[in-house]
Amino acid sequence: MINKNILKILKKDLLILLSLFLISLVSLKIVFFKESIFILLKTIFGFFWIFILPGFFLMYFWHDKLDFLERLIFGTAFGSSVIGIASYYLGLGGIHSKIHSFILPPILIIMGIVLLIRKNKIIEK
Amino acid sequence: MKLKLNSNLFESIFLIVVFFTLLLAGVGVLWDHKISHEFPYSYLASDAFQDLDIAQNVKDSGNYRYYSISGGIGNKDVVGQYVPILFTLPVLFSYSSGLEVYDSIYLMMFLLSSFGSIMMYLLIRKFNKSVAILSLPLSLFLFNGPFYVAFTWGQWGYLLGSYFLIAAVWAITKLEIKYSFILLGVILSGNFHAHPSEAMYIAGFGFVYLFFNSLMDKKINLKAIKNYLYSIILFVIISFNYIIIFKNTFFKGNTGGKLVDLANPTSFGWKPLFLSSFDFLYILIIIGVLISLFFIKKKNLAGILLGWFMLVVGYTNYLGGTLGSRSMQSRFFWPIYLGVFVGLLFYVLLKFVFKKRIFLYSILVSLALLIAIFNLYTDRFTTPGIMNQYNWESLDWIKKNAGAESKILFFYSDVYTHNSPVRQTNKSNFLVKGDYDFYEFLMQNRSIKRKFTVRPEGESSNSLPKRLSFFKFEERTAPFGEYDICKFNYFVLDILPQSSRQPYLIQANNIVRSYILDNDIGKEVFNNQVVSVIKNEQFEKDCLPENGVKF
Repeated sequence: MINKNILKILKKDLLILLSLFLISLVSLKIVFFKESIFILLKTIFGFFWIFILPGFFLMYFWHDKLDFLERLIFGTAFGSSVIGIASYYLGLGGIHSKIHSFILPPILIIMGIVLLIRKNKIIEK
Repeated sequence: MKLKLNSNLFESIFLIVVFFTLLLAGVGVLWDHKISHEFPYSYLASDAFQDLDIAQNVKDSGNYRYYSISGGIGNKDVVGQYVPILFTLPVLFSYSSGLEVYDSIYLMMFLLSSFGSIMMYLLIRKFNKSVAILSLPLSLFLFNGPFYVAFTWGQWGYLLGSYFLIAAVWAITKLEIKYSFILLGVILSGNFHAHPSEAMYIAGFGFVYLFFNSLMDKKINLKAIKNYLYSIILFVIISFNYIIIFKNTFFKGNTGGKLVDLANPTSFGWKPLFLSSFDFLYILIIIGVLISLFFIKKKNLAGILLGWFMLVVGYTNYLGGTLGSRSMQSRFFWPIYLGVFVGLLFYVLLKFVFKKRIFLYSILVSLALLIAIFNLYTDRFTTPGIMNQYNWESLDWIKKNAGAESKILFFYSDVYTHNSPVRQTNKSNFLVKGDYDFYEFLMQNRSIKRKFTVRPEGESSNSLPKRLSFFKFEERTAPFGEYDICKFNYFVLDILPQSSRQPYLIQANNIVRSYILDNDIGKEVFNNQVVSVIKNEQFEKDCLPENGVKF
């Protein structure tokens, strides 16, 4: 299923993302020093969940062509586009927006990992 | 332990510093260093409240099929026509972060604009890392005078569109990668669903970029052109529904359907914004533009080309029509687009002076510029804006307690001079403005009129369109004109003269309130010492004599 190479890539990237999460928390605490740490935590989580992670994982499809910073920064735009438009059409299709924030990010993250696995298989072949 | 410092680490730290400096200079200071508020904080114009109304309605109704009842002035079937993902994204962000929609949508603008600055950096970095670093500080001008109104006055669709525009330019530079048409097609669709004018610019930029590269390389890059065309096809497939909506509503309503209209050049709709808005730095920008001409034969010029392109777009106001109508707006992002020219100038100077270690000196100079621009040019002010917690409480009360079909009459308040805050009620809202005949008559004749001019508040500029079928839309007339006071369900009156810049109008409100209550016309259902909400107990009856009443 998931070979060592993929696990290595995922582990490395997740560690950097976790570091970025913590750096964001500290930095936002400086910018919004009057705000409680709990609200900041939820805000950063929300931002990562909707804007960063879906796009970053979808960009795994091009991970051999794009560096980490490109996948992170431009992945945010790519992911925002996918998730924003998907939410629009799911809403038109009768699925309440309340559900979108729970189902869309994990679906896109899983899609990204699946793409990474398939791409890796193609490269190995 | 010996810490090994390399240029990548320096670069990462520098980018993090810049990103959070942008947040500090913008939303950090503006929001008084708090992220969660009791009411829409720092909203300085009507447009911001319009966007909030739509986003809140997406959250409440669960979709963006229609505008809110407020937006539709009582019509429940006005098609959701303004840029969908400006509203779906903050709603998702609101659910996942726990922030109210009024905070999540505003914060999203600052976060994504700061990302836009970093995206531009990455574009320029392909050309030269030092130039990219030196170009970043100019982004702080986003929070200076006429540029800043894009945030505070609610030009949020434009900001989101500009963010996608830079991402789309990057995707255009990647057209040689396999399946890159998916990247560009999806980002372009996001761009169109965020602000169509920026998507049109980027389609134009794509042609300019491919043509320029073919010219420089003296060969046609068929792979890139093929991917570009595929991406346009993908864009049309993804965006087809919204292209139809946009064409029949905003495009038609705002421009009369003309793409270019040379006879009617666009004039300023808000604070004038010129190159000189950068103060003396505009001279550096112009010198940078001239210097950039010497690099024309270099590789990876996307950042510089985008700078040129958006400089030209900024002056397309002379074209009029749809293209020209957005030119002034496109200048709001000049601090990000034109930073590359300042970067080029300083890079050439550093090369001339130091010869070596240019990267290190670039970081030092850039930090110095960052501190200088932060101190000298960012508008570091904190303000609650138009709204306050008392008026917000009253609007929220109406939203929760008045019936869906209710017609609400808002008498003068400083808060409603910007019209759209009343949309929070999600009912049919009508305003009696301070300069309307009602107040003039009241002051001159000591009488309360029964029939007078009111302003229906909603998205009336595009004729309240209803979608009859996929391609067919019906326009309706907004109900402007004279209204009978007896035909409103609720009256909303500001009653504390000290809270207003126009205390005599608030005193007039108190006269109206007393008359209604003393004569059992209505019953007070909400009062927080600043705002009184009265339910009309004689709805659609003769609540006042035909010719009004003396008090």
